[in-house]
Amino acid sequence: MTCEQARQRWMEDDQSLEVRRHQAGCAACREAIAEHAVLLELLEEWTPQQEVSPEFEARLHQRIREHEASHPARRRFRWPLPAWMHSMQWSLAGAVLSLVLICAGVLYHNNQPQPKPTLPIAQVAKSDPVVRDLQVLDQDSDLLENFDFISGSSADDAQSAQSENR
Amino acid sequence: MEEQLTGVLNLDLRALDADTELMLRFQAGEAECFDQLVTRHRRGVLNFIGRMVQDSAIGEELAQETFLRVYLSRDRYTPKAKFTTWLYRIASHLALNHLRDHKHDRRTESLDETDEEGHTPVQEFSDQRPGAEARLLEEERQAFIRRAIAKLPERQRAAVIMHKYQGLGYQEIGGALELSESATKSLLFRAYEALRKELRPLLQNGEVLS
Repeated sequence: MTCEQARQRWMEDDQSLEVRRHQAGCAACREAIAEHAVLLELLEEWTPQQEVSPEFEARLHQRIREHEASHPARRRFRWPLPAWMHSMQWSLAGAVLSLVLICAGVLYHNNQPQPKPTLPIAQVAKSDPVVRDLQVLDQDSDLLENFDFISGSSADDAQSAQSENR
Repeated sequence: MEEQLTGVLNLDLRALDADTELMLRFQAGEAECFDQLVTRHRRGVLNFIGRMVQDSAIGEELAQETFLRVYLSRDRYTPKAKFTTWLYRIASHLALNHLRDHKHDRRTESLDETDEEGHTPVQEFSDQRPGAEARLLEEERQAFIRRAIAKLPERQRAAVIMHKYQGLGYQEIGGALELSESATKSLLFRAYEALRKELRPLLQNGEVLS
């Protein structure tokens, strides 16, 4: 700890062991601290030089009147709230607005038309004729794809049988 | 009113000082509360600014300006800190602005002026009355202290005057000068160290040697 740190902490009423230990081992700090105590007493000697003049209030009100005459009143609108509420009127307005928005959101959500429940795919397939047609077409396309393969292989078989007969 | 507040908002109104309550009532339209605030703080504000600018006429002018601004700012006031913090912030701004604007044309103190024979006006005046020596000594000591404070940088001066003469705490001084509490402590430490060095002749011998 430096002397400056020790003196500053002492001035801030820091009575920790660290500060006291520094003081005990530092003559310069002890002298500075003793001088500081005398300094505070010495500063008391600078007594107030000025008394409030008897016309202070009268002149102040005169200045207020002059100012208000030169700057026409543009007082903000004030809600008819108790005195203590004026300082937090914007916070209250924010809270009310938030509440209104939350209520509006809840109402809107509740009034939305509910989507019809969807059936499982298997049930749709059984009940819907279009789906049934599509399934049939799927089966037909499988058949057509395999048809070439089936017909191709039977032609090959016939050719090999003819060559064997020869 | 206190019951209303504690009842509805469950606030600890002991934290809201009497001045804040007066200001809130004034804000709500009770004009007489402004007069009460002026009566409570006019002397403190006047002495603070007077010590800052070291001119009684300007001190009174700026003290009035401070209360005029309180009056005009009533709608914008919010009780974020003690009322005195807000009040001394306005007063500090006015005093510091004045010192900044008149840095170059500030009048030298009349006590510093000397005639051709090296006598100050105080000496000339005081020597003509009984008990002149004691009075002269006291006046010289006060002038020495005043000059030492006037030599401080302006923010250090404001901090010392608020701390030593207005009895404000670190938090209030920091609020008034818009500094953190640790910066305020540091500022005050530097100010007192500078004063200790400047006033060392008085501290060690009890006499003005310079």
